Amino acid sequence: MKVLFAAASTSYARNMEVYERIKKQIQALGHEVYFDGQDATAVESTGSVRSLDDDDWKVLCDREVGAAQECDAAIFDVSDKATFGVGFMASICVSKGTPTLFLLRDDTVGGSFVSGLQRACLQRKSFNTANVAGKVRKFLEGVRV
Amino acid sequence: MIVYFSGSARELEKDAPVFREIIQCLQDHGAVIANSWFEGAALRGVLPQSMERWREIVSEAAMGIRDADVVIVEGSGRSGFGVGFELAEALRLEKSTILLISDTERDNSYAAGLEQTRLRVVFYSRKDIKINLSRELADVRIREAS
Repeated sequence: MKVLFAAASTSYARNMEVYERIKKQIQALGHEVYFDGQDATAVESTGSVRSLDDDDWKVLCDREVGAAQECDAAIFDVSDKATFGVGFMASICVSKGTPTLFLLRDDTVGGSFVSGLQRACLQRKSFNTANVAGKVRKFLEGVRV
Repeated sequence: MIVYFSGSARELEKDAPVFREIIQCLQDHGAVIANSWFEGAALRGVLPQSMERWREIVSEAAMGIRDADVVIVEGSGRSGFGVGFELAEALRLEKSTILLISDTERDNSYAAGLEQTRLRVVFYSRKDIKINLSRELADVRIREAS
């Protein structure tokens, strides 16, 4: 199964340990993972946003939109300030009925567009570093292709 | 012409003047704005917190996009999840869509890389936004008529 995992580029530096756990869990279940952070070399350790020229943005967008269209399941970290790109990919996934998991860190506060979304294919789970792999495993074990 | 306008409410204090110019320009061209979230949110100055209210907002947005002839999205660098979600929805429904990106945020805008048949990406500065938007609206009218 192809599994897309995505998060705001501004979250990579801070959450890389968590994201590596998610990626490893997906692979441990025998799935192919597309993680948009794996090529995000332009993301500085300060956590600043990506800065690319137009052509590089086109390459990145093509790849990510393609992954959203082709995946069998999708997982998004929507804690903190989920970004435009995450919203764009999530929209493609849920409109196709792709089983989708929104992960929200335990300490995420307040309402947002994310909290108002309701779709039959969409699940939400809160997580912390210790339990994130288990949450991902449970979600993927419930997905039938 | 019914227009759905999408923009980020994250930094509304900063973005409100630009959003007002966009909406004024649309109204000057006889457009009917499908959604009225912006002035309400600007007046309140804070985003709603309840999940119930957000469900209504998401539902209203879906209906607004569905009913619109044209979707205008302000998608500069700091735009969030909701704006990206709505843009993808507009393109899925094959709406004529104009994506406005501030010149100053061109390098850090994911949206700058999107290429789709029904999407026009327009980079703007504050001083030329009305001219650019007017031109795009005229083009949309010609395309829709032909």
